Amino acid sequence: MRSNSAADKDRVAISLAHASKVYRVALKRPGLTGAIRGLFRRSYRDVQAVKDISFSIEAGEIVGFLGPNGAGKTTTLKMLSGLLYPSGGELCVLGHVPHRREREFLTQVTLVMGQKQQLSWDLAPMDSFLVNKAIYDIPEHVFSKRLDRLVDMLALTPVLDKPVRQLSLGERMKCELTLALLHEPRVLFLDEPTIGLDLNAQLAVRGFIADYNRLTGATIILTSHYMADVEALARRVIVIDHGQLRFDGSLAVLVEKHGPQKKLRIVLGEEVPTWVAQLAEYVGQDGREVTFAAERQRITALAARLLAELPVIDISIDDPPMEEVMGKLFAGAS
Amino acid sequence: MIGRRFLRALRALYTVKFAESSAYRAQSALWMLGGLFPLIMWAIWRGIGTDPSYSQRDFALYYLFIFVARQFTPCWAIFVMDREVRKGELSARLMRPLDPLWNLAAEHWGEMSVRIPPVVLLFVLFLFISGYGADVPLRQMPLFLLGLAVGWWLNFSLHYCMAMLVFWTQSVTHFDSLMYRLFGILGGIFTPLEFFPPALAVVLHYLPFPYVMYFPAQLALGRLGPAATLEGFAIALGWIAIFTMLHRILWRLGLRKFAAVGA
Repeated sequence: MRSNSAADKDRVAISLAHASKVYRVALKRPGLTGAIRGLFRRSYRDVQAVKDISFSIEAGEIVGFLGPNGAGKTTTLKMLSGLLYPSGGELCVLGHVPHRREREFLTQVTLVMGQKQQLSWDLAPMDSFLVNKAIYDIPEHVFSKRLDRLVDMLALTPVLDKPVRQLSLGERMKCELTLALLHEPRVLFLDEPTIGLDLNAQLAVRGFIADYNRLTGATIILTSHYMADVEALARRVIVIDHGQLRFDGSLAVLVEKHGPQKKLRIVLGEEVPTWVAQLAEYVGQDGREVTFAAERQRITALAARLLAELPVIDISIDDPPMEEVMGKLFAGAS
Repeated sequence: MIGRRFLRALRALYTVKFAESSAYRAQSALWMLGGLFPLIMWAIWRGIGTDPSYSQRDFALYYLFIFVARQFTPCWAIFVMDREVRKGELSARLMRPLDPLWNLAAEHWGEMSVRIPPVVLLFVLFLFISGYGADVPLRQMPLFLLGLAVGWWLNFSLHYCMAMLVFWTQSVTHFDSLMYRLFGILGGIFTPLEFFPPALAVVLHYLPFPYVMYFPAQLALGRLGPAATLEGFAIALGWIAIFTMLHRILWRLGLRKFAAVGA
């Protein structure tokens, strides 16, 4: 019988223990004097992009990896995908040390970067798909089946034979995803997969990622500046800032902890009485629509009072937008 | 199994790279025009006259085969690695379970394949113009083609070693200019190596430069005996082994320095 720890080990797809990454950056002074000095004496500065980060992710989880620009998200993803050597700590993905870049590891992971492309610019996407079929050694019948499914899920049939340079950004991103997933990786590192896409394309990509996770049980780490991506896909979020872990837990806990104020919105059937604006929780109004904000504990009592005293025809209580929660979290950290 | 899988991957890469090169026919034509330099050298030598070791026919055929060798031993690995490392484009290649070296090699094979028809056309045209069509030693062609293949691999290995330095120096395109000049002078593009001072010719004999274009041209002209032919191939293969070992070491060390910036 297998021990519990062995079973736990199997369940963990990704783990980092005290991972860190330091970049050595050459400093250049501006102007001619700086350039001449640089010829004889170079000075460098160490930039700690990731500091002592530890977390683990179970197989099949979708985790939102959040943080402001320069927080260390992409560096962490690059270390996990084997592109970067860590400066310290231990990383393990599907039982492999990523930076060793063994074939067995590379055939089980993928990295999609929203701003970079792997597709051949002058050829049709199908040409790039066929190259990956050969490189990943995907048998013909498996390739056809997977490609059909991906093409179907992403509605790609009309673009398969068009040169990539003639595709829209959304179409290109869908093709990038198809290319990255043809070998059916067990771990997906998605770095801003919806960046620059219009709303329809964002929804399509989002839905596709959720479907892929459901159908294959793949583990997914997702970074995105669109909180809607994270809210739609990830139950768990990991937040880093200045290279350090700030939060690791469920979205609900993150909102509760760092966005304690809920928003109450009411629409009245008549003009808004003047005393409403005197309430401490009052935020503002637009015609007969009034908005309030209060701590979770007080919002129910406030709603009950308003319902009792005013002719309310519509009411809603919402969590604060994720952007607001994140803003507060980072403001508190800095 | 691994061998067959690897060959399938190479074939697929070659197919795509050939298609890409075909899409840039104008660029290929410009590259080829740059390679016409040996034919200009022939015109110059034609005006100068003859030499006891090189008749007018020898000069004409020498520069013709140098022209062909130059067309089929090109290498732009330094430019590609420079761009891919500095801009982080290497990241996408590193995510695939195939050494990026093979992607680059296939890119060269694709481009060279696109060049075959125009080079053959220019070759025939040159023979017609020069009047030496009947003097081409056809029996030497298999050895010439083998020499070309080895010459290309040697040139590629050498350039790839230089390209690896991008992990440390951030930019290596100046090495390409250096290589261009070294091959121009020491590789036999400007003049056959027989015209070099004897001491320099002895040193050059053991350096890699003559084995990319000069040695294949000598094979084509049938100027080498069996012993010199074997020795030439042995020296070329020896350099390939040295450069291959060197770029494997530099690759492993360089990846530790790779910052994957911009991607």
